[in-house]
Amino acid sequence: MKYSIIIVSSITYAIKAKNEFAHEAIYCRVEKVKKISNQKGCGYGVVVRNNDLERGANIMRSIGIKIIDIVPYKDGEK
Amino acid sequence: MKNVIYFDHAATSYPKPQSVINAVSRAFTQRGGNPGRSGHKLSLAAAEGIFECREAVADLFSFEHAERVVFTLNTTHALNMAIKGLVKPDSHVLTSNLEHNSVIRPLYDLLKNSNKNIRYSSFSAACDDDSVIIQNFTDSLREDTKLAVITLASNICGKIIPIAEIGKICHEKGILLIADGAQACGVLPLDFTQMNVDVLCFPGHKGLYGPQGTGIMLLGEGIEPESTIQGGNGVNSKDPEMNGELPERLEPGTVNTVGICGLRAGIDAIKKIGIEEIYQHSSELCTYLTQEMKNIKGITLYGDFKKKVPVILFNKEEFEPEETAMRLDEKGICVRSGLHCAPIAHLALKSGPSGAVRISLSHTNTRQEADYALEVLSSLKR
Repeated sequence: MKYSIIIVSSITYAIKAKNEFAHEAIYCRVEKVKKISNQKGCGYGVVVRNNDLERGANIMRSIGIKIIDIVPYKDGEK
Repeated sequence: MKNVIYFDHAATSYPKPQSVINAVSRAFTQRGGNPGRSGHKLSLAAAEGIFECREAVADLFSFEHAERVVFTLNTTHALNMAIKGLVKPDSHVLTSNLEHNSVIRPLYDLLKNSNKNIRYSSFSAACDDDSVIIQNFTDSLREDTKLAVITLASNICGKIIPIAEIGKICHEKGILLIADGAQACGVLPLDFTQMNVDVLCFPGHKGLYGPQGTGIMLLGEGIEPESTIQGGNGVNSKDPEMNGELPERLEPGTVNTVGICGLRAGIDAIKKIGIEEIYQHSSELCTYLTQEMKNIKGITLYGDFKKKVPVILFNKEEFEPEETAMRLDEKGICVRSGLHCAPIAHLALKSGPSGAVRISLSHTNTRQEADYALEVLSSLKR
C-alpha cells in the first residue's frame, strides 16, 4: 500500500482534516513533518493512502484548509 | 468547602462541576505532551484535546470556524490582544462608561505610551432605556472613530448592553466592534453572528465553568489582529516574524492544555443544563433577592436595571463595603466588595468613593441561600 502526506500549516488544520476524514471514512493519521518547506521549518501533515489522496485533498480544500504540499510518504522518513 | 454560600460568580464560578475536575486530572495523565510541538502520542493527544475545545466553543456560539477560536490566559489578555492588534493609528476608540479596567487600561496605555496617536472617549450606558443607550453611542461617534470596545454586560450592576443594535451601526460605518463577554458568556444565550460583533473576548473560568487561566478570543471572518506577543508556536520556526494562520499566529508559547481540557468539560456541563435554563433560574433568584433587599432598612441599591445578568450592587448604611463583605464572610457568604476593577462604572452609578458590595449569582444558588443572606443583611447593625 502506498501513502502520501498532505502537509498543512499547523496541528490545528491537521486535526481538522483528520476529523473530517473520519466522517468520510478515509483512514489517516496525523504526523509531524521535519520541514514544510525549506524556508519555513517544521510542521504537521495527514498521512493518507494514495487511493484516498485526491478525494482527501478535495475535502480539505472544500472546508478551507490550505494545503502546503503533498509528498510521497515513506515510513521513518518524516 | 462545606457550608459556604457562594455569591461571587462574576469573579469566578464555584464550585466547578466534578466533570471539569475529572477532565483536568485526565489531561494531566493522558494528554501530558505539548500540543503542536512534537509528533509523539502525548503531544498529539494534547492537540486533539485543544481542538475538541475549540469546536465546543465555536458550537456554543453557533460559530462555524473552530480555527478562529484563539485561546488566551483570560479576558484581559484577550482584550489587550484584540484592542492593540486591531487599533488603527491616528484614530478614535469609543467605549462605554460601564467598562472594566481590562478595556480602560489598554486604551489608556495606547493613549499615553504608544506612538499611534490614539484617542478614546466613553458614552453613557448606565440607564434602563436601550434606545437612549443607542442614541448616546451614535452621538458619541466621531469622524475618526475606527474601533468600539464595549461590554456585553456590566460586571458591577449586570446591565445588558444592546450590542446587536450597536454592532449594526458599527458595521454601517465601517467601525470594528470588540465585545467584552466576561459577564455574559455562559450566562446569556448568545449567537456570535446575531451579535454583530467582530471580536468576542471572554473567560473560560466564569460562566463556562472551566479552570482559571483560560480565556478566549473569538475572531469573526476576515478579522486578523496583528500579533502583540511573539514567540514559539510550533509553526514556521525559521521565520523571525509571527506569520501564518490562525489560531497559532496569535497563540505564542504553550497553551494551558489542562485548563482547556477542563474548559471543554465545563462547556459540556452548561450545555447539558441549557443556558436558557441557567439564565432563567439565576435571573429569577436575582429578582427575588433584589426585591427583598429593597425592604431592608439602610440598604441602597445601585444600577438596578431591568435587563441584566444576575448581579446586585449595594451598600449598607453605616458600613464600608469592605466591612459588609467581611461580616457576610463571617456568616459563610462569599461576595466581592470595592471597585471591582471598574472605577468609571462605579462613578457612573454613583456608588461612592469606596465602591460597593456585589452579589453575583448562578444556577447553583438556591432560594434558601438567598433567604439566609437576607436574614444576615437584615441583622447587620452597629
